[in-house]
Amino acid sequence: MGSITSSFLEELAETINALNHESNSNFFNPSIAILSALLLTGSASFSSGFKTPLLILCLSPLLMLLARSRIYSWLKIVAITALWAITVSTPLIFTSSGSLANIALGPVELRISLEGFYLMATFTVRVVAAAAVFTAFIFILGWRRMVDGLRGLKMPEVATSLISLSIIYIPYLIREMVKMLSAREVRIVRKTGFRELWYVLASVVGDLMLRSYEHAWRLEKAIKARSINPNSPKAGGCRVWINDLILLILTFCITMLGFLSG
Amino acid sequence: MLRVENVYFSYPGGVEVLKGASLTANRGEVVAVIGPNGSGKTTLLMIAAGLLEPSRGLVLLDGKPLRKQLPEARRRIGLVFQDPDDQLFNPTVYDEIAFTLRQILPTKEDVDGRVLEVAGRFKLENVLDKPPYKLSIGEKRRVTLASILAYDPEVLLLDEPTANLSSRYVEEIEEIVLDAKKSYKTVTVASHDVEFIARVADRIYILNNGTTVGGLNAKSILADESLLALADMKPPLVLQALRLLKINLEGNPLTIKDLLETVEKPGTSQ
Repeated sequence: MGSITSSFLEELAETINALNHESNSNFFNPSIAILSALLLTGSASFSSGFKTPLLILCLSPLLMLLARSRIYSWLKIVAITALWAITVSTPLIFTSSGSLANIALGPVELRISLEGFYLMATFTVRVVAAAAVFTAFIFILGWRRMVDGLRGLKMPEVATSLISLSIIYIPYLIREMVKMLSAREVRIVRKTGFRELWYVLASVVGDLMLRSYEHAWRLEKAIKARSINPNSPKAGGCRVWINDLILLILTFCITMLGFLSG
Repeated sequence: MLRVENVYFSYPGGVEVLKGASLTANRGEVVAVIGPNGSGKTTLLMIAAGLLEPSRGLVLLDGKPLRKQLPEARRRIGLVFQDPDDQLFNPTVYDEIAFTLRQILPTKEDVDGRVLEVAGRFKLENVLDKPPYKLSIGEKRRVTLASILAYDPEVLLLDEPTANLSSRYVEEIEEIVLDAKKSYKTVTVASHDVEFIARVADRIYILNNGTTVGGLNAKSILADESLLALADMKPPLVLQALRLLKINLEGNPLTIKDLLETVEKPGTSQ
């Protein structure tokens, strides 16, 4: 179990790191892209019907194709999100009120609510559309350019610095966790039960918190030692191209449509 | 010139790490601080860099209190941390070197030029786009040094610069320290590596029980076993070997280079 956990954590660290470092796409201006991502994700999440989320859902692969980003990895995330949304919303079919249809399955009779079915479908579409569009922008921009975008939107420097450091240090701390797990695993010399193993795995959490604190303390000193000007370094300016204008217009149109259709 | 005068410091929880430690480092000299694990070497360097405030005592830079010169004085003091992972926080090596330069140089072109120059000096040209965590420990150490030396501080504080490094990288660090000394910088090194200290240090302070002892000529301290015992250290191997062989050479050679020079000197007495 420890090995599976370690492998999972290693993969997780690598994925976060890949998002952090591998995107060099300059297809969109980061500030406009992040603004669009926020507006479209918001529109998809808070819409009540099918139209807006479906439109956003269709737009997402188009963006991925245009930016020549890794569509296969993105599709996997969308598929997992869809599966999760369907799983958690399925009970709505059986628990919602409204017009009912009875289905007999041998001795068992299922009462299906058509309204529940509608609720489940809208929930799934909303979740999938929101996840699809936001992850599309993350894939296109990469997390570093996302932070640049947030800086461009004049988000407080403290917040962007914290996001930026978190993005860098999440993989680092996950790797620390893997090392701690391995150090514990190597000392388990007999077959152990799940409960015993669970104690060992759980003991990592306290250590990790302690190490994170110590690391953060020293990191704060390291940043302070090299901060000569009270104003932190700013992100370089980015130009606005026709792609950005089209994206911006499209975003506003979809957001307005979502707003007008309730 | 950097002077730390009779400083006291306690971490939250009440453990008093420093109880009247002092240190003076002049331009164009390398001062080493040695001491057992947990003796407060890192704390002393952090205080000297103005990152921690002592409960008592003073830190003076060119005769004026350092506190009153911050944050501008940070440009004049560069601190290299013991663990590179504590110091490297930027997404790429380029960003790491450029972090301070972006605060002091007027244009992006100036920053680019300086980063490339420093990367060339530290043999980091091929890793500029890489995230620091993917580098080897030796490369990480070079990045930490490059990111500090890029803005050319007058005072260089190095915390265990040779820890976990192979001998090839130790030689590189040694070269960098001696270069800094030649360019009239004030260099203070906290280290456990007695061989490294023997090769670079002019003066040595021993930190023990929160106070500093010594501040004398490196040769006299490294040859004194009772003083070195305060720092849980032994004399350099060359000196140990000569003592075991009961060979008395003039001037107590501490390094192989010293030994060769002494042996090759005409009329060397044994």
